[in-house]
Amino acid sequence: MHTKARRTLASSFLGLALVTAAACSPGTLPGSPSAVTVGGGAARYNGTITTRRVAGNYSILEGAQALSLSLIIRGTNQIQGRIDSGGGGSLTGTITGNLASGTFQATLLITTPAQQGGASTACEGRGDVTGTLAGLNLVLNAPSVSYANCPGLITSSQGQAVAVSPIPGSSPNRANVVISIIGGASVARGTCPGGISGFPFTVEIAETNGINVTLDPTFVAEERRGGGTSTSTLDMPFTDLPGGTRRTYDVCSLSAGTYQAFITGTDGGGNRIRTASPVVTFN
Amino acid sequence: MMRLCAVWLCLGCLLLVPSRSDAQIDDTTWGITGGVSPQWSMPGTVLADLFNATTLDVKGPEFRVGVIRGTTNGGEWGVSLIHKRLSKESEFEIEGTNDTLTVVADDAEMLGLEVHKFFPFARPGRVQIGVNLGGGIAQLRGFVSGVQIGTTSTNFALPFPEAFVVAGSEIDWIPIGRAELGVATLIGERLKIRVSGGFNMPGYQIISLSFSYLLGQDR
Repeated sequence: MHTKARRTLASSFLGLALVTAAACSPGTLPGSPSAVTVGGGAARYNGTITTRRVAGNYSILEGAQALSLSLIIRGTNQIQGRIDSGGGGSLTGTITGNLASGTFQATLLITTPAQQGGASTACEGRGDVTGTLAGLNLVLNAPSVSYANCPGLITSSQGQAVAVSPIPGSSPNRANVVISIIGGASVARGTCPGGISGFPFTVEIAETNGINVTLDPTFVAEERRGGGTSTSTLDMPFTDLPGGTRRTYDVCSLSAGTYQAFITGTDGGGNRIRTASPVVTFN
Repeated sequence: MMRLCAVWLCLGCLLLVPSRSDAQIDDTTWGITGGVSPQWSMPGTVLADLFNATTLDVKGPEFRVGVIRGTTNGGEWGVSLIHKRLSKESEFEIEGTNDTLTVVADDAEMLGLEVHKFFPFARPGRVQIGVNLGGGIAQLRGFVSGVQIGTTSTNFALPFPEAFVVAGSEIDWIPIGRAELGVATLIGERLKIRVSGGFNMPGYQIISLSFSYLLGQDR
């Protein structure tokens, strides 16, 4: 009896082992890799970017260079990107569609190393950038980037990249300052303080990487009305942006047009921070 | 308003405390003090430079509570907690590098400690006439709105100390002080009620009401 019972027990264990072995066959393990998907709120892209000098008596590196770009969608249609490769930079704008299928228009703030007369300069450029997103692929084009601290220098950049992760890349030693418009970058007519008709909206400045930032004592507000562009340099009433915090300010424009803020500063690691708000459009 | 009622209620209760009409507290003893100024103010441009401002129109009520040491017929000194609230009509302008920031008090206050001493120099009957001098330090607390007016108005919600950043400084603490002429009257042998007015830095007050109640043993 004992021998028969042992055989029955052994047969049962063998059967159980065969069943569980089949359940753990390759392809069904929980840790098996799956394809990178895009379409959530963020993605990290790796690729190349080619910058050409269009004008200006400067020498820049014009070959294809590595591009590492992290994109995050904020709110309904605002997009914020951080370029970690090269001299670094940011792009802020709006997206139509989503990261898997869409287009974006943004302001590109990029730092390009340049030489003139044997002297090297970190030229701080600004330009409009458009891009398309299809599946894992991203293509961007910035036809004209001008540099305020390198007079006369104009470059163009084209980039291609592939999504490698739905998680934005980390830059542990550099602050990430994001400017967004609460409620969206398209503002309808409302009421300004004092009961005057206008276009009220709230700008949020957030540091998302846990690194303290000291903002410069001034910031720039650029407004476009009736075909004209006016740029105002305004005092920044707060200069401390502790890591992981956010500050807001309210804006109200009395007439239709656009508004965009440019904020600069220095983070705790000594890195220069330049970022812009999306272009706010008054409808 | 509730705090004002509470002060008056305390005063009323103190008046009801029985005491011998011939009792006196001639030995120096501990006591409590409190007071209220319905409105202190910093008008015009007199003190504007102190805050890097171009104009100042700051006002609000002040409340005080503290401990004192003194005698019935003599003077007294003490330490008080000072709370100066800025009314929502308080406004000042800070001249920045590029523009002017108009600051409006939303929920701002000053909270500080002050050492003060009342020096009576005349004693007609149960009345004391003297000066009340004091000095201390107060912390700027709460929030203000800083408004930049242009083609587009920009409104920053700021911690009170940051209101001065556009002028190149952040003010967290300010010195406070007072130099008032006051008249005190004895009610019973423990309670003094004093009406005073004068400088209440930063600013002044037309009238201030305070009380002192000595806790020592009668003789």
